[in-house]
Amino acid sequence: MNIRIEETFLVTEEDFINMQLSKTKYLTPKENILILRIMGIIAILCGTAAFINVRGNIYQIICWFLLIAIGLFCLSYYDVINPVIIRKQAGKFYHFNQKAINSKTIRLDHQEFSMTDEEHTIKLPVQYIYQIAETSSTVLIFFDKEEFGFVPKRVLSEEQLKLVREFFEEINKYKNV
Amino acid sequence: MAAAAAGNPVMSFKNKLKIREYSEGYRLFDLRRGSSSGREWKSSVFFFLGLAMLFILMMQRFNIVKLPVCAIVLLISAYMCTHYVYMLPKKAKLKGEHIFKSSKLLSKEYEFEIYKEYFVMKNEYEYLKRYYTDITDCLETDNIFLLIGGIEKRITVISKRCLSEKKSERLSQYFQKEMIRQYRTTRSKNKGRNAK
Repeated sequence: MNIRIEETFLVTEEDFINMQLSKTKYLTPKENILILRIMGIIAILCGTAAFINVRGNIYQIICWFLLIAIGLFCLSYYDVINPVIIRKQAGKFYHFNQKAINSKTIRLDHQEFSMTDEEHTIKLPVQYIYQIAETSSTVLIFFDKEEFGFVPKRVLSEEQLKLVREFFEEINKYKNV
Repeated sequence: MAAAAAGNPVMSFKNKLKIREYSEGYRLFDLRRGSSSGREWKSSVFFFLGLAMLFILMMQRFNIVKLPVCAIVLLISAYMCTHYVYMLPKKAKLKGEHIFKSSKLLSKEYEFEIYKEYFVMKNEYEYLKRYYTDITDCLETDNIFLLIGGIEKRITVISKRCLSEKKSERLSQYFQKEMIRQYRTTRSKNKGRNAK
């Protein structure tokens, strides 16, 4: 497959935040999300059932409401609470380290991938890439299970994105998150 | 590769990591900056929460039916305490091993050049220049130097196995001098004395 992409971009605050959100989404095991959701549903059901059937004195009623609140917290943690915390932290981190964030150049052809900025250059055969993960806003290029480079989707055209998708799907290194 | 570093390096050496050295470095990183950081106070919170629930249950003569929430919170607290104290550090070491196995780069030989204000690590696939001011933590153990830095919190592990005792001591003194605030050591005293 013939592929040739070369783009230079500057990481904006929104890109950085999206990258952090995408990374968390990719690295969070699906089982963790499922377990927390199940726990949340159980807590809400138990709290509601106890409130309707047992009720009891004021302290017990507070306990049932607390149980429902814990359930709601568990249920919304990965979808609402965690993204809000990450956004806040990433925004703060970006402003604090703005000087260290340089423009990056990525190059990709059917043999090699490279990513260059002022202080870091990585030039790898495509087989050395661990995985490519695509989220709604970012393309993450993993060099191992944790270290990665990223390209905001706004940098790539729809056609380029399609090429990347097809190319890495062909070598079994593509994941849609 | 990227622009060449200016001036002569203070020291240069080659380094090739082994899986146990990287996993040791990753465990330390996890304790300091990763998910295990602050595990002491997190486990303390759950410990005292569990203790409080146990006290409340004791007052009710362990009538769990009467206070099911307390019993559930006690169970969760006990689990979280074990999770932070025992499971998390073990998991971190295992994760480090997984990362090392998944990477084609970490097992490759790197050439390190130590300059006055930064260090450079390079091989045929990668070039990284890192200023000491961008380093958030510099940790030294009996076997490795661990440098954590950059916006991506990248970990750089330098194995002492690849350095002579003299060079290792020189590097240790150099890092201590250049990164006064970031430098920490967990080196055993005997080894330190022997090195001197």
